[in-house]
Amino acid sequence: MLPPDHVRDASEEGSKAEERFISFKVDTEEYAVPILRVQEVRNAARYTLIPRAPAYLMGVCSVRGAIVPVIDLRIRFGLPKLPEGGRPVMIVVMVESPTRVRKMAMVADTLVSVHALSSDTIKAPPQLGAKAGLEFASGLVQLDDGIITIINLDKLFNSGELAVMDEATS
Amino acid sequence: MVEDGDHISALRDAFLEEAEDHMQALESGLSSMAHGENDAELVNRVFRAAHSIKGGAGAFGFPELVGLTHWMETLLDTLRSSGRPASAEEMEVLLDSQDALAELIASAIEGSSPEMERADQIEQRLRAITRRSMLPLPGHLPTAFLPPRGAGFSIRFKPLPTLLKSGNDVIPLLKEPGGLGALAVEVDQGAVPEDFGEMQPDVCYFAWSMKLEGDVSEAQVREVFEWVCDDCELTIEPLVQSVPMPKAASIKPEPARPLTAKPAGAAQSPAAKGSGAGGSNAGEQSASNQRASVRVPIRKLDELVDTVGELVITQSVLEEIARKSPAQNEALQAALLTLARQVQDLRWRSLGMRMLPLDTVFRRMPRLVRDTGRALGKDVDFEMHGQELEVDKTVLEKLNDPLVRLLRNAVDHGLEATDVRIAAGKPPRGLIGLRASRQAGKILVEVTDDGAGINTKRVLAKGKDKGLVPASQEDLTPYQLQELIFSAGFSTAAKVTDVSGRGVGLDVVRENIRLLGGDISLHTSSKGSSFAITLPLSLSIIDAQLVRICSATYVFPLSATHAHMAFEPARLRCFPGGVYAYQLKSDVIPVVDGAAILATEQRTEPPKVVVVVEGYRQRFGLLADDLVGQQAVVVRSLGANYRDEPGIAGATVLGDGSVVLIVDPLTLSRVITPVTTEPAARSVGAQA
Repeated sequence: MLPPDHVRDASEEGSKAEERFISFKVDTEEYAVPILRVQEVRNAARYTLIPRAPAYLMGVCSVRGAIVPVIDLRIRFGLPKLPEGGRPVMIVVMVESPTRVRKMAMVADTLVSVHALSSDTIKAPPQLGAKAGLEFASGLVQLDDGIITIINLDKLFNSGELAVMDEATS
Repeated sequence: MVEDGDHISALRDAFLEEAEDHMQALESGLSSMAHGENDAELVNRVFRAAHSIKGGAGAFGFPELVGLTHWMETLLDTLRSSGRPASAEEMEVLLDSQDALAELIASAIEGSSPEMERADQIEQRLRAITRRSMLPLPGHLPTAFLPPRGAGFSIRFKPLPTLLKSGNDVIPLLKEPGGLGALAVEVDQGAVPEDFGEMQPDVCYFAWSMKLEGDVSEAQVREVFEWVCDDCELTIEPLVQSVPMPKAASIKPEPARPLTAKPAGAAQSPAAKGSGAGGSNAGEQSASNQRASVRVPIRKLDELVDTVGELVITQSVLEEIARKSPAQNEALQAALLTLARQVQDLRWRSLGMRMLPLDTVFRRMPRLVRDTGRALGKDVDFEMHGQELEVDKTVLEKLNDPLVRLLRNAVDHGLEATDVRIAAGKPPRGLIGLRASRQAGKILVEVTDDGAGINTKRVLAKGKDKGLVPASQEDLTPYQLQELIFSAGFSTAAKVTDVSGRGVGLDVVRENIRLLGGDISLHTSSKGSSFAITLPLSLSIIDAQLVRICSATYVFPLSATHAHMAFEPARLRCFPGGVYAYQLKSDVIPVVDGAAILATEQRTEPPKVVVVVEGYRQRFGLLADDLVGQQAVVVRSLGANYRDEPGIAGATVLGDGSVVLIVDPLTLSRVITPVTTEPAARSVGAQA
């Protein structure tokens, strides 16, 4: 929740409002997520495997005492595994669903940078993207040295096996 | 800035939380009244609970609660003024109103639309009975419904110190009766301290006498002062008395509320301020300090417990580092020891905050037993012990249904009919007991009856009937008897009654208790039966056996682990269809390879251990590689951030920071195809 005065500023300045994003690389592409959703970034650690889990779930690990699922973005996006010798990073993010907020970790190849982007530079993603993972893109940003795909975390991590189960069963 | 809407909804939430407290007061008060207690303070307490719910419900927009509470209040007021005990009929309707009110509040909390039909019916009954109760009885002439025409009332109104402090204003109260008729007000300044230095600005030292003339009913007058009736002394007497009349009703409020605790004596008269009053005031103060409490959302408590859990892990990481460090530092070791003790202390204290006394569930039971006994025409005495013991809130919430089922069973099936008891030389009244005690980190709850005990012959016959016991068997061992009683669809009741005995019951009770990490056992003899439930004190920390399967470690809760032993290949039997069984000393149990259902890797070497666990309706064995040790672990949810996984109760973080999964044998046995479970039994399980 943003404080009300913050909201007012944003509406007065209209489309010029800037939001900060953390960007990272998966294979050849650069992706970004809003920095406000990122709890921490750390070196990829040991995971504990879960029986009957989807292939992209590397396992679970402990983040400040909480048990957090770790998702391999390469496999989630249908890409080959990171070659040996790579030093992947783990980005812990907050994922919202209608009923609750979950903490999840995603593993990317490397961290790239932090960008401050104004909303008018963010373009809608192409509808018929052939690129893997594009159905979870909420926008594209064209920079001098390439394209950054902005990921909609809630869409990416609330689909398929990760969907929040009916609360009544818990 | 908080928006008004949020503010109101926060107030509504606060009201509903308070309403639950008032309901508890109402429940316990009515239950005492139903037991024949008749003391003015008791009736007053119940009255105030109903009154507070009504007041808040009106203010915060729960009109559905107002009608019912209004008529409860009226009936209770009648009882209070007359001083007579409630009649059986009145008690019945009050108890029914309490149930209906509880339902209405529950649906208000859920935000669902209330089921008004039942409440309306009860309100009608309340109305009818209240009208009747108000008709003149010998020696008692209620004034509310017999307004002397053209007369009026003499009102004496004396605010207590709490009146101004709770934000009420006196002036409108003095003016308002003027709207009902001709009003004359006189002020009594007798209580004003002579020494102005002693005066306190927030205490009202005045009292007023009012003379109200006109065609007015007492109820109308009372309504004016309704909001402040807890904060004043109020006497209302009719001006003209056509018949000799006993002293009219006077609302005697409690001395003071805990939060605004300022002894009433301070304002009454300067003389009362002497040293004599000081002692009793001090006593009152400390009593109110004991009651002082803060309302905290359960979520915040859970966050605290979680953080403390993290601290426990960090502490064990620290110990691990110190142990491995080559340089031994005595000061560091001492500090670590102190830290360990403090963390342990903090852990139990924070867990303790989630604990509630068993009384919150137990206190409903006397009425349940009484009502069940009445419905079945049995005279029942009920004994309760240990309701002050505390257990985790989650455990407590799940304890209600099993207890209701067991107590109903005890009255219905446990106790014999009165004539049978007399013939057997027993006291005609049956005795049902509900006892709680603490045993080695667990709570033991026993439900006992002094009936004839379970008819083993009938259970045996029924077991043969169902093919659960070989036809040749002559007798049942106590263990077999227990297993039969707790098996699905098993009921030996000759006839099905409303109260209990459709067969779904005890098996569901056992499943629910086992899901909590507890268990239930049965002891029966010709002198009666006893069901003993053991429950963990807390669900957040469990005692566990650590087991290695392939390269990973798994946690098995001790509550669900029956035994473990070295694996002997000669005892393994393979049946057609890939079903494996393992031969124990006196039993053959199904067995599965832990590597196949828990681990995510292929087995490279033969298993060395068999862990026997309590599965769904049966024990089974898991083949494992090594026993690592036993320890207490902090249970972390897997579903909070991922999803709940059948067979996995959660995860925990070990001292070295690694995460290990906690196995849940009960749900794990459902992952394994339940080859030996008949379809009928499974459908019952699905309802559980």
